[in-house]
Amino acid sequence: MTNNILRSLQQHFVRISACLFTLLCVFTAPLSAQQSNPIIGQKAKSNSDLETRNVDLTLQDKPISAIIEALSDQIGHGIVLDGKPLLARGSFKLHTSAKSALDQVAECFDCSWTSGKHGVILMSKRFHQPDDLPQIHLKEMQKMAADLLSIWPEDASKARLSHYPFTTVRISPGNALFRTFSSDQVKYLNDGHVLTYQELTAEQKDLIHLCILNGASGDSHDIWDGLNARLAKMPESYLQWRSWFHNRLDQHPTPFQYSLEYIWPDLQDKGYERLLTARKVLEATREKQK
Amino acid sequence: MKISMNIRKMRDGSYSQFFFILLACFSLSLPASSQTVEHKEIRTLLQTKVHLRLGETTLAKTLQEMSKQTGLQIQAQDYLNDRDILVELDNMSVQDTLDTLAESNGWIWYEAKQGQIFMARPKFNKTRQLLNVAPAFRAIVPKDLRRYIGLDISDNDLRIAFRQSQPNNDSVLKRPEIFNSRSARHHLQLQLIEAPVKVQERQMFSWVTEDVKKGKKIPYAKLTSSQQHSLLVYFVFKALSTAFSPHSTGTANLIAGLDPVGVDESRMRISYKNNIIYVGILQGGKFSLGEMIMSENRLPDPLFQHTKF
Repeated sequence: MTNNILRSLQQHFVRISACLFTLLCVFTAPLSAQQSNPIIGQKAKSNSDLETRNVDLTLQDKPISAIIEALSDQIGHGIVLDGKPLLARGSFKLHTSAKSALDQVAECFDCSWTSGKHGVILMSKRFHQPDDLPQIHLKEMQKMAADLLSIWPEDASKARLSHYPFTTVRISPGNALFRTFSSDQVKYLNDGHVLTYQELTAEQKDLIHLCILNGASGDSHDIWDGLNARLAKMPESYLQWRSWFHNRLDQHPTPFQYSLEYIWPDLQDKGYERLLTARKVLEATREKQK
Repeated sequence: MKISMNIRKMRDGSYSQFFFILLACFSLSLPASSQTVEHKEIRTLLQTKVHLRLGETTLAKTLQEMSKQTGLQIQAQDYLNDRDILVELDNMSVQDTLDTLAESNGWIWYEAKQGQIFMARPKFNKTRQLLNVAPAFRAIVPKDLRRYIGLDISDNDLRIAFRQSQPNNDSVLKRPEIFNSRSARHHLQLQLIEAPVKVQERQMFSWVTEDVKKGKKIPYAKLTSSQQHSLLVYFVFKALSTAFSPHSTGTANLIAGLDPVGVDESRMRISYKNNIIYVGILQGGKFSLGEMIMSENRLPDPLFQHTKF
């Protein structure tokens, strides 16, 4: 019995080893093809030396790039930082371990640091300083706004317009959803049945998504639609000090009611946002004079 | 005896399972980036060592320098070109450098066509499903902006950021329930998001000179770069603060990263009772009436009530 088990184990060991060997060959073949690339397949550079390596660094009022360069040289690891810290210069007198030196430099420039998979020190801004902002670049934000809009449930505009009783007004997605139900669906539901999500029309599905994303009474689609509209043609936009109701043909300009407006070219060339009202400007001026 | 039984089981066909498990393990252990490069000669070039002691620079300039040193065509997608980075890397392969830049900023890189490498934001699922919204939101919003608005950061980091930005409002943090309640965390994040809007608004006051009050159009191109930036920051943070308002709880939850709005639609059921449409979720074989989303009221301002799923 024991002999049988041992023999069986031996056979299977051979088969499993063969299996493993084949797999190893399959996976190392493309790697070994890159003979000039010994790094592929290697483990990430170890950062255990950060505790043991000593740093001796004295820098007086140096720009951040010079500080990071000197620090990188001393700790023996590359460093990357995502953005420009608010503080542009610094002074250091460090006689400590590499880890502690990194902690001190990161703290000074309001950053956190972590070790990347290839041993590089990745510094990230923490935004603990009130005036520090993330990077906001026009093209990136245009792309962000357009992409957010693309994943958001569509604004089923036809269902969301109500002709009550004299003017056309937008209604909430919840109300619009109700109006999209066919008489057959209403009858089915009235009879006590339940509908599955799959039985809804595409428009109804979008409206349910919108209801959930909106929560109480917000209109989340409008947020990203509005941001997208404002940013998409920003270079063609302009600012203007305007009287209120400038855009409404049925209204006369209201005397003494002015505001600084941002006007962007939309389809009807009527996209605008009121940035500052005359009243706010006046209040701000008075406060400044005080 | 047990051993031989197990071995017999293995002989009955579980070798293939074993093989597949191993296959999965090996494929997971391979660096993701190497799978995206098809051409062998490009893979070889990707091992070229580069020297990037660039200091403060942009992503476009960094990739341009890498292209110069390797002969590869490495570019960022147009929208990432202006990203400011600080780079101190030496004697590192192009592949590892690209991995590092991607890891640091939450980007990906890939070979678009032979010899052309692109750095881009992560791809996201564009299928219109609620479950896709939260991961897509994270892929779309830049990593530093996510960190700034308090998404994906620890309670402690949020507490420090709040204390620094609002030193006079410190008493809020002393409330014991502050991080036990979703609305309290919302409150802290909202304050952080609203701060830049107020700052930019204050700066805009100085724009309204007597000359501006004459009503002449001021084209965007005529604004200083600082004014252009202020305007952009104002719109981005105003949109985020609106999305985070209590009127938009579903989206606010998404931004807070606390209560994912993703709902498995296959379990969603719609019913109609007492003139009210309910959307419920099937849980454990039972259908629970989860959320009343709409009343029968046909007036433009319907009764609308939100309760959590």
